[in-house]
Amino acid sequence: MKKKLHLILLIAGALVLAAGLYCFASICGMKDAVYAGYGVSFSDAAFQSVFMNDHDEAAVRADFNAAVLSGTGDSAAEGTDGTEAPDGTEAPAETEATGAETETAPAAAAAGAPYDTVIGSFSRVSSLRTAWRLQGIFLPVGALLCLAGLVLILRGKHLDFASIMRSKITWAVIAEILILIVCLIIRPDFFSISYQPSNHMLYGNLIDIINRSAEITIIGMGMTMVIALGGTDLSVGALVAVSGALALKLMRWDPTNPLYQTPGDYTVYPFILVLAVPLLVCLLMGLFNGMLIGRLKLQPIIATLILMVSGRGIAQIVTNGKQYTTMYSPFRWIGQGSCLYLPTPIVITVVIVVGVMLFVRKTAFGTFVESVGINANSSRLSGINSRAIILIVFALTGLLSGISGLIYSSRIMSNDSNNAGLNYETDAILSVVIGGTSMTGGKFSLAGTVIGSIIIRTIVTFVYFFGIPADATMAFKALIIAVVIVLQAEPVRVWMAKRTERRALAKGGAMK
Amino acid sequence: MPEEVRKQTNEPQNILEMRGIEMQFPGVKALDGVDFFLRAGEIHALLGENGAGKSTLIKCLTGVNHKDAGTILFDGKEITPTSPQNAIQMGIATVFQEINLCPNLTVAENIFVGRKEFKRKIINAKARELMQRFHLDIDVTRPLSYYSTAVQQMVSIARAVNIESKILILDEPTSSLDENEVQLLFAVMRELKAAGMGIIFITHFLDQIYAISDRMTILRNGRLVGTYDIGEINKLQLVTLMVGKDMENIFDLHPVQVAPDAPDTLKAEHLGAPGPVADISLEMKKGELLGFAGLLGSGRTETAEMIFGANRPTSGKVELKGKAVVVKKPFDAIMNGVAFCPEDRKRDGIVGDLSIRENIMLAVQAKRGFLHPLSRAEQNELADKYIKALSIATPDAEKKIGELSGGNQQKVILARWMATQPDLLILDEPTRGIDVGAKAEIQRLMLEMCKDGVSVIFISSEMEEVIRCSNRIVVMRDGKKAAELTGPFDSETQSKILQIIAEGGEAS
Amino acid sequence: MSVRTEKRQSLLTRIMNPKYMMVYATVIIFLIIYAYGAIRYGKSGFTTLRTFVNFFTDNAYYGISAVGMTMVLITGGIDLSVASVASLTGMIVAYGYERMGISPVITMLFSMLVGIGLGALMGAAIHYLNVPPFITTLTGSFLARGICSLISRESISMNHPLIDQLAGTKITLYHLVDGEWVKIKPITKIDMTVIIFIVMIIAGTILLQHTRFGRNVYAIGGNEASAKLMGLPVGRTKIAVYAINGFCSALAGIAYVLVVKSGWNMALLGGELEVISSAVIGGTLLTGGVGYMVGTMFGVLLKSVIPAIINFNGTLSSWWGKIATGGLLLLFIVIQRLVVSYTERKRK
Repeated sequence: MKKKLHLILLIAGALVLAAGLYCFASICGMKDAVYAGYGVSFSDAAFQSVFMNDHDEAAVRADFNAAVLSGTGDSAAEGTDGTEAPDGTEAPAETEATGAETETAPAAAAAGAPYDTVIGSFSRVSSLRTAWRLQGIFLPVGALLCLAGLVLILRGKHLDFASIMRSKITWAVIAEILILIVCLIIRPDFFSISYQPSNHMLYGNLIDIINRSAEITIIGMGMTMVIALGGTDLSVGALVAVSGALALKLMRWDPTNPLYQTPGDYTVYPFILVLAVPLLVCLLMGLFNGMLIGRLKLQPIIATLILMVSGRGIAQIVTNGKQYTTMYSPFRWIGQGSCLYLPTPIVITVVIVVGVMLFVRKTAFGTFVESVGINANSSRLSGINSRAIILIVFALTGLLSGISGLIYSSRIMSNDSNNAGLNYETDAILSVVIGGTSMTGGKFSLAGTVIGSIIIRTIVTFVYFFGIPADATMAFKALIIAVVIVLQAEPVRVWMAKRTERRALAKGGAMK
Repeated sequence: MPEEVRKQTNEPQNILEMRGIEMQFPGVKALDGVDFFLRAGEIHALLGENGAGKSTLIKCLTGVNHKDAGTILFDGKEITPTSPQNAIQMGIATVFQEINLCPNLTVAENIFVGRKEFKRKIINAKARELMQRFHLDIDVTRPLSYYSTAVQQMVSIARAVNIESKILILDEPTSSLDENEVQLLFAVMRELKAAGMGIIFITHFLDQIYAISDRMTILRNGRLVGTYDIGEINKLQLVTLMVGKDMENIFDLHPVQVAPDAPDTLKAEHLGAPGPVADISLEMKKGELLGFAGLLGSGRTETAEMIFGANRPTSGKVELKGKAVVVKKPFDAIMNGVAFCPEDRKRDGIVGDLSIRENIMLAVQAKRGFLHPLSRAEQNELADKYIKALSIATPDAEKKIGELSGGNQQKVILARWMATQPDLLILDEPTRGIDVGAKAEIQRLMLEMCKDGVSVIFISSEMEEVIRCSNRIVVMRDGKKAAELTGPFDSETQSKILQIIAEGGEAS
Repeated sequence: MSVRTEKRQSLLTRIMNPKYMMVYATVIIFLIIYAYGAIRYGKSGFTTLRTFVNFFTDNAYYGISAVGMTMVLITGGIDLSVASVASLTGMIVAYGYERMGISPVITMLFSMLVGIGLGALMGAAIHYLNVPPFITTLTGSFLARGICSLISRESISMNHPLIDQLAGTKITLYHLVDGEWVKIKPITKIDMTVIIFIVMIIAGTILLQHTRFGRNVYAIGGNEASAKLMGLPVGRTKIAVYAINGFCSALAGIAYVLVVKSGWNMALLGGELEVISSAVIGGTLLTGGVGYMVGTMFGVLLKSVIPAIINFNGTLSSWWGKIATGGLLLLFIVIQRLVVSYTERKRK
């Protein structure tokens, strides 16, 4: 039974996934038909307001025709969504498709066509409704089942139930799933994913959560190892600001122009330089941190405090206190474009996460980091160059902060030395800790950090769905994090382990 | 010697009676019905190998751990200590093996923190007085971190002694003290004993037990073996009782023969560093075992660290296998085929949270660099090979090294270095703090490596071990090489070495 | 004879005791920077008493909070919630009076209770649940600021006679001229916040140096496991330290209200770093066990001197202040490092 478990999981996952994909395809088919026939891309928001109101056929027909013919189903609303600050303050990006109803209603009545061509019968409408609700549940659940099956196949030998339950990551995953379930109860279509043909991108809350967590996840990859070494890097937020400031400065700087500024839609320096210089500077700043910690043996928290305090000052001096904006489209692609039907930041994040994981686990680097984090003396005497390890880890964190800074400033198409990367250090540290890496150093889990960062972003989304003012997000973040951390706290886990053990003993005794 | 458990009769002058103490750790029964009785005005040695349950018993008494069953009668009343603080209030003072003081506080503050007196002037005066009793003339207003480990240990003893307590527990207090300091401590202990205090004394040094104790209680595997008066059994009987098997043929070990024309492995000339050591010259042949004798702090460890690059020598040069090398850091030494098991296993040896497999592969991997990793299969092979070869007691290679016993940890460290296939292996106190059986095994391994052509430097405080295994012995004194003795050695060698160490002391 | 030499020695050794080195370094660097300012900008009024008093006034609320933070750092912990708690205090006082009509006296007392309670709660979590202080207090910080935002999302300015009176209470400095007490001109007054700051520094010094509690605080910072085995009340002390720090944060919040006369949910954003860096510049070790209130006070003064110099210069961008603070931090921790390695080498 146990040996077959992975097969069962895989098959079930594939079936559910296929069902989800079928639902997804049927919705896409409808949307494509609209796009092909009327040149209008039919947005999620429009879809929702037309189909989800449980109206009868006549109302749906009128709504649909109005939305398609007026072209309100365009994706403008979704596009602006990406430019807002990712701190949870964004407003609901719902397009009021019905608002245009009054003026286009006569035209729709005259034509009458879109509904009959695209939809046909009312039973199609109700099946679309069902598809819309189900695909959001089928897709993630199927993916999860497949993932579990794959994990079992790959790592099956080393897994046993007790150690899984003891693992901190398990609790983080359970917490994430609980939050998502609550979201699902509040909004049944929370998980729904849809495709937007106009900019070749998938939309949906899940995708948005992952998209918005990109910056923290990227920094978290470095931070995980910094914490595994027993330290913390407080300077990441400031480096995000520095990176953005440098990128914008270079993009707008024109030595030949009397105003020393380009209008913002082209760059004087090659674009690659615009990207490379901020990254290089952040790498060097990370190296500086690493030197202080590895060579001068300073405490990481205080060594990185230096750049945290002065970094934003440096960013301000780079731009002379100005806030530049740009319209340069290749730069926009980094934060707002799409790649492989996904928002570019997700793709960048996946590439970085996989890259770092390969580097850490396929070489002996991860073991060395853990070894130095657990016992620096022993490691040195075993011939490990702990100084080099520290240097690499902090330089890497600096570089990743730089990448994160580019994504951030591309999202807002501007630099903001005061607010760029604000509180990123705390968010990154929290994701690492929620992901199960101990603040005292030692064993670390990069996958855990990814989950931690997604949890933090989910909380923000969750709070937003509750309709709570964005400013109060912090209080809820605090509450949920407190619960996760208390569950993970060593005394609590020991107590629970003892309780289960005692129960098992009691059971065993009774059997005897 | 009768093997049955001997129990004491209930005597009226017992100040402490522990009966049927039981203590369960996950998976292990650490204490199983142990009885322990302490009289007022006696020094009572508590003996046993590592893991016998001595420390656990003490921790039950001082409230660090909580017993699962049994009773503790103190002064005729039943007590259940809930915390160290609670135990201190009841009159049970403890000096733990590791120094448990605050390095940032001054000596005086360390002695009096948590006590009634706390005004600076008063405690400084009192502390000065107290330190004079230990013949220590130090500035008590300086932070503790300013002083050597030995002084710190004396301060921690002073702190415990100063409490008006009825029981004093000394858990391995002498491990960082030299002979003089030990004598001072003994003098203080005798004074306290005369004042009617009951002292529980835990140590690994058998001589010290016979020098100071009145009675002894022996534990083995969490069970009571028995309580004896000091004159009742001799050392050999004592060791036999502790180990539970016959000692005679455990240590049937002999030095390995070295061919006279074997090439040199190590040639060190005039090594020196300011402070600890000056002008050390050594020469070693392939397959030779060189013993280092000398007191703690005589420069044994420092010499080893200089050869390995853990500390950089300021003068002199090193040749390995006939090639002059510059060793700046341990990595350089490892690349040249040197390996080093450090003295403080917990601080410098193990990487506690990593598995046995990872601990074994660490040095090999460091030698290769992290970009050329050993595959998982190679790592497993390596780990399994050495777990079998060194008979490391573990269910599998994925167990954390921190969860192993001291002896097994030492074997893993040894495996780490054997895996690098060194030409020169330096072992600094590899047998310290591990039980007798494991000691013998480690010495046997050492000699086997010599047979395979590895040169070994063996540093140990236990002279018998050094004499038993070495081809040559270097006697260290005050950071200098005092003598070099060439084997074969006989029963007189020990007294000869002692004489060199002692006379040197007088001369300077 | 021998007694006398011993006494003289002990005086010298007492002054040269390595544990005071860091405080000396802070004071010396303060004096150097002050001297630089005095030489460069002496004519434009850098040396006046008013400028000097302003060093205290500028950062008084940070200074008050730094008193508690020093204690937390000495135990080896850290508290990131101070600025949020101070901001919450300001909000409670302002909202309480302006929107609910409660007297500021009651809201001030209440916010102190809130500070103490939150501090004690965090201390308990740190001690009993073994959650790292960094994470615990970060969560506390989110909580305080979140509650603050729940109360009100916009700045509430307040207008109450008591606040005005407290803010207006000043001590005027006099000096003796020809046997008569004359007001120092230009008129120098010491604000209420500065008085609180100095009183807190003195109280903190007494608490740390002359009570059993203070000694326990140092012991825990030196080695917590040892302190436990020495029978010291570790848990109680740690919780008390965080509670005291909560109190100091609330008091700092009140001082801040006296200055700005309003409550705002984003007030003092990032202030915890100002407070921590003041303490570190004042010679407190983040590893715990070392630190003095006097040092912290000079740390706070140093953080006012640098902007003052930039101000007097007039041509430099104020952003250089941040960079200078960073540089100063670097300088200090390097000095700390050198002092530590020096004493270590001497021991060998």
